[in-house]
Amino acid sequence: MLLLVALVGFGSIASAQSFTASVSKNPVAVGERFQLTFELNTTASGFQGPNLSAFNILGGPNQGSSSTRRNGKVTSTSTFIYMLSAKKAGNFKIQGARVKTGNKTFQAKSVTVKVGKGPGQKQAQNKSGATKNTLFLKSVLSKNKAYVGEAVIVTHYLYTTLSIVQVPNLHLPSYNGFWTEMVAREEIPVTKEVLDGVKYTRIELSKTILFPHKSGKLKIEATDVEAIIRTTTKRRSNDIFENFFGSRYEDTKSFVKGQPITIEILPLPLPAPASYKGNVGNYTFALSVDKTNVKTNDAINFTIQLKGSGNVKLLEVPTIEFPTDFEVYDPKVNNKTKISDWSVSGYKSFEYLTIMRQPGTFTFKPVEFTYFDPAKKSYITLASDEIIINVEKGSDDNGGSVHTSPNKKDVQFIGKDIRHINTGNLSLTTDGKLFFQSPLFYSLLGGPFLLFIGLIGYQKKSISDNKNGSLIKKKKAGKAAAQKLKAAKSFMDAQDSGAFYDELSKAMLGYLADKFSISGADMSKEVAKSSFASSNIEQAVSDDFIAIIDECEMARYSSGGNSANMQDVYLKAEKTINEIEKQVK
Amino acid sequence: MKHLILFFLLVISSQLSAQTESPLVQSAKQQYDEGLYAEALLSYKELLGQGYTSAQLYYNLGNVHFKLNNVASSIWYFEKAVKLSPHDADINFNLIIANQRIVDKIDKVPESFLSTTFRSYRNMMSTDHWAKMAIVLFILSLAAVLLYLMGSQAALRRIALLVGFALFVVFVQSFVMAQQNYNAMVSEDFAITFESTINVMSEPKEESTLLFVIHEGLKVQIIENSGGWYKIKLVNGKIGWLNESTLQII
Repeated sequence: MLLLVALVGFGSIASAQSFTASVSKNPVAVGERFQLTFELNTTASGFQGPNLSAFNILGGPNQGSSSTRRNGKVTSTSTFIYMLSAKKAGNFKIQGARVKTGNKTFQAKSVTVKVGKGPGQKQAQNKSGATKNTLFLKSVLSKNKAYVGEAVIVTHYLYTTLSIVQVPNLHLPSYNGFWTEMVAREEIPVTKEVLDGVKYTRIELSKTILFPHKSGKLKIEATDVEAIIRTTTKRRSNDIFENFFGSRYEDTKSFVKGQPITIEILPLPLPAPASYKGNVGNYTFALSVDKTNVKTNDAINFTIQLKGSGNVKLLEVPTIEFPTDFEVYDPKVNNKTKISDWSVSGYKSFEYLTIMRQPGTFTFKPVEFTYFDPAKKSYITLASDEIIINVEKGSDDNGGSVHTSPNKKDVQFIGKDIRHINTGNLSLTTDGKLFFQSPLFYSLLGGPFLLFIGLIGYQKKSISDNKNGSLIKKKKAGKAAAQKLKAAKSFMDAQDSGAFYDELSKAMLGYLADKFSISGADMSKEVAKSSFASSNIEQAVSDDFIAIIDECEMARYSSGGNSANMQDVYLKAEKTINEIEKQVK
Repeated sequence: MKHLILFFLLVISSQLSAQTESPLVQSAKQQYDEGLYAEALLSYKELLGQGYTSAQLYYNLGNVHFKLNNVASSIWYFEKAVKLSPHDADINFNLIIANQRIVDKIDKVPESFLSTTFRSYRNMMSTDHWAKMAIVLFILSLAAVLLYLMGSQAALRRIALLVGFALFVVFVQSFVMAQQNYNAMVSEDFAITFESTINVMSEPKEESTLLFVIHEGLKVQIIENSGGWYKIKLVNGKIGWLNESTLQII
């Protein structure tokens, strides 16, 4: 009995420590999804996966554990599940999986998987794993090709034949290259769907609207989720406790990983219109103004409204070109977006409050709004009507200056009026009658100047004339003296001593004056002497000359000269003048 | 000689005071006094049309436009009047008043003391006054030089030379002042803006960058003219291009 107990005990231990490997399908086609399960009938503390280089690991290892009470004994089972798909055809041995329990390590037996080139492998990409008792993720794109900026909806579904209690850990991809808009759900939509003849429960895990912002093949990474699966075990009629406590169930945590998907994003056709600012979708556009006839300082409201489907939140609103001087305040932006299952729609409006301070008529050029319509595959430009705003001067007389004058400094004259008009006869002249630079002006400058030049010239000439006269006199001095001497001689012959000496004196002095350019007023013996000296006249001649003049002077006043004396003086005078003529060149 | 100078001066003054009496002047004055500014404007314009000019006529036209609330025109006429008669107190006063009514308040770049002094000195007399003074001084300096050249007494001659030199320097100075005033008068370097809002651009074309905005009645300096565009400078030193249709040259 003891032995039996021991044997049973041993057997139970031996049976508890089996580590098996199995595949859900064998053979499989290339790309087909299948499940690889390792099962250990005890609690595992460490698991090392097999070499799976020949396969794509789509999910796993998902560790599950279950415990069963049977006859008061608790039996626990650990499972490690991989979702795999084969990369290529051939026979592949899966081996090398190890598991640790307590201090023992178990190695699983190898499993050989036959992979054939099965048809429908493409389908298998998303639909594989349609095996009983499975759980898989499926990501659905609303379209496989989209333009940059076009809305694409990606929905992640969890398909299962099991009953799912909870989906606690959902890891959505990061959606690199997309601007995303999550579709919020109040309840998780659950539907039934039949795939390959199997009834599945389809749980929508997430729905996201994607707006790609770059072109090319964009990859949406795989989603993974951890699901808690409840398995109800059948009642056993012989178990009172279980009958009493109701049905038994097992909760298994299961990790599921989806497949990455790619989407082709087409670039927008070129060339884009100049007014295109990157809006994609389908819109209507309106520009409105609340009034077109205003007075200065009145407020005018401009509203731009865009309605339609597309990435409304990020819509680039066309700018209104306000004429300068319009005071434009920051626009009030209204935005409302509605996300439906297949599109984002809504409106965006910009309300500008403006005030014009200056009167005038201002024309607003039509505002253009261009978007790319992916459905029509073309750019569509909508233009507003031209807006003309008439601004009149406000009731305030000061018009435009109302606003600005408080900012001005130096306003000491405000409130004062201008001075009165000139009431005189206005000193009217006809055009261009300026005195400056007129001919009269120049003649008044030039006239006196010419006169001045003339006067100087005249003076110069008269001076030079004087000079020439003395030169001639100098040359003719000898002749003039000779003539005078002749006259004196005739007086001498007539025995008129007074007239003789007078004439002789005139002749001598005249000669002296002419020859040495001495004026009558300056004439003196000293001047004569110095003149002789400067002209290098011999002292004897000079003395004779002075002596003759002296003698003439004496004789003129004594009046008692005789003819012999007269003859003497006359000859002497003749001789002296000749001498001087010789010596002065 | 003295008679000659007196004769010349008489000729000058008679030439300059050759003024015209027009019945329009009186009727315009009456219309102005009665507040019929639009009619007064027509009368003064007719005088202009008859080829008359004077600082006073421009001044009255500026006043009429001011009363009619045409600030830009008013400033334009006052500026024209100042150009002809820079030292007239009434014109300058009304120009200041009119400039209070314009939108733009632009701070002047402060002028150096020297140039302010120089300008106020230059504006002390009008072009023709400077010109007349120049002529008198020129004749006097020539007379002094003549005295120097022909005088017989050495002391007198020395004084005459000094006086003649001094008079000549003052003559040159007066001539330069007359010339400067004349240049300022005939120059077309300044203009008044005549549109309520004017965009001043970085280049002489519509598509260029908007630099700043100016308004009606502002005096701007014209630096350059190119294909219907003026390069202008504001008193604060800002430079830009604007369409020539927005300006009227003073």
